[in-house]
Amino acid sequence: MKHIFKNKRISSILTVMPPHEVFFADEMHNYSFPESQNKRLAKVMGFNKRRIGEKYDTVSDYAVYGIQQLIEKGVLKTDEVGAIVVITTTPDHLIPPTSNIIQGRFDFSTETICQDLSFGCAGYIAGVLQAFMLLDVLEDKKVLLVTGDFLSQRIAVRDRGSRPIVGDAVAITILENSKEDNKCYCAIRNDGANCFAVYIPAGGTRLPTSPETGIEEQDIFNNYRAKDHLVMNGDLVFNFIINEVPVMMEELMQDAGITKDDIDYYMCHQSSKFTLQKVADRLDVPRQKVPNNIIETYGNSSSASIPVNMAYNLSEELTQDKQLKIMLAGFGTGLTWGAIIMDMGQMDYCGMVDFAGKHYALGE
Amino acid sequence: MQQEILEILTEIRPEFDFTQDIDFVEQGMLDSFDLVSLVDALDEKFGISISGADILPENFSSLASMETLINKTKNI
Repeated sequence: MKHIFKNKRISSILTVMPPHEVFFADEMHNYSFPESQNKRLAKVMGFNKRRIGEKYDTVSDYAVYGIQQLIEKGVLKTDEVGAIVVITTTPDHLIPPTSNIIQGRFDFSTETICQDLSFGCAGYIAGVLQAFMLLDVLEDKKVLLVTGDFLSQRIAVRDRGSRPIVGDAVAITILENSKEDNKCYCAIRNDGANCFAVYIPAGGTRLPTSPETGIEEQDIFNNYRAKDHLVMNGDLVFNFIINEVPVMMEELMQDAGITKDDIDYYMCHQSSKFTLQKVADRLDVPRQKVPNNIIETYGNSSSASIPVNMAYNLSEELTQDKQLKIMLAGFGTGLTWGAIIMDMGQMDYCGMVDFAGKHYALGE
Repeated sequence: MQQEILEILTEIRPEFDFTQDIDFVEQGMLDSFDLVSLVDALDEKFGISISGADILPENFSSLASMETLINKTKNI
């Protein structure tokens, strides 16, 4: 099933990155790879460096810093905001919603719609879709979409399956109704039967955290992780991505009445360099149309990785006076996968900053 | 060809004996990262590009299954 939205645009993107950089070369002694495989994986998977947050970093602190930057640059006025949508799997608290925390830090109207949604790597697609639906009733107001996670805190140090990949980031995307006559084609799919392919066993009501859930255990591949940590079935996830995602992308192009050659860039979630190259091959499109350099530069930042990809690779093109036809594609936890085809360009702002804002105190 | 595959496997997982007549994946001798390394090494060695859709455990369970996959990929 496809969803079609008319006259919508992404007008700005700002990604807020943790300043702290860690290098695979400094961490590889934690993993059970032989030396030769370390070098090969670095090349193939894109293991190089990544940005990770500190223990006291939160999605709302990063979002507030980013929104302040956008206001100071004159890109956003507080009275323009009609809704704040936060997509994260690492909220500041179970209560209150992170979107309410952000709303409370600014002079935003009490009529501002605040929504938190729990999505991981497909979260940017889910968030844009949610923003489009809200814009249908918000008229001239804008949606602030905040996507991102601090998942590195939930990855075991000696988990070679996830640790070398995961980075942290928070992105702010401003969406609004457009005067241009355009159509955005969206698709989103879910396979809850395989939801435990990526999960954190402890921390919810099924298994609350306790001293026992923090005890690390060894698996058959010599990874050590606790029930408080994320666990990923890499084989299942890879096969899901490679078999389901390109099919959905091709079907969406058919629905939109375009061919793969009409797409200027395929801006995908950054799961790994290897996966994205294989997706490009499967789609039979040039690999340079599917940028895969974020994983080796910033790491996989979950629902922030698509805007990080756009801000890092396309900031100049997206702020010029021209339109690109872009396909966005996200996939991961859920299992959820989705894609959007839309015209993008003439943005008011598209860029990246390192976090240099305030860490609010508990209850502040 | 199987000798060349064996050399690659031994480089990736030197602690295992891949001359045994057992299922390498089922026996836990190769995990997903090993498969990634293996695919890259086989692509490089034999001048092929193994399709993502073929990166399935059963295609890497033995030397014979890998040889079949390489030949299939060469003929596409």
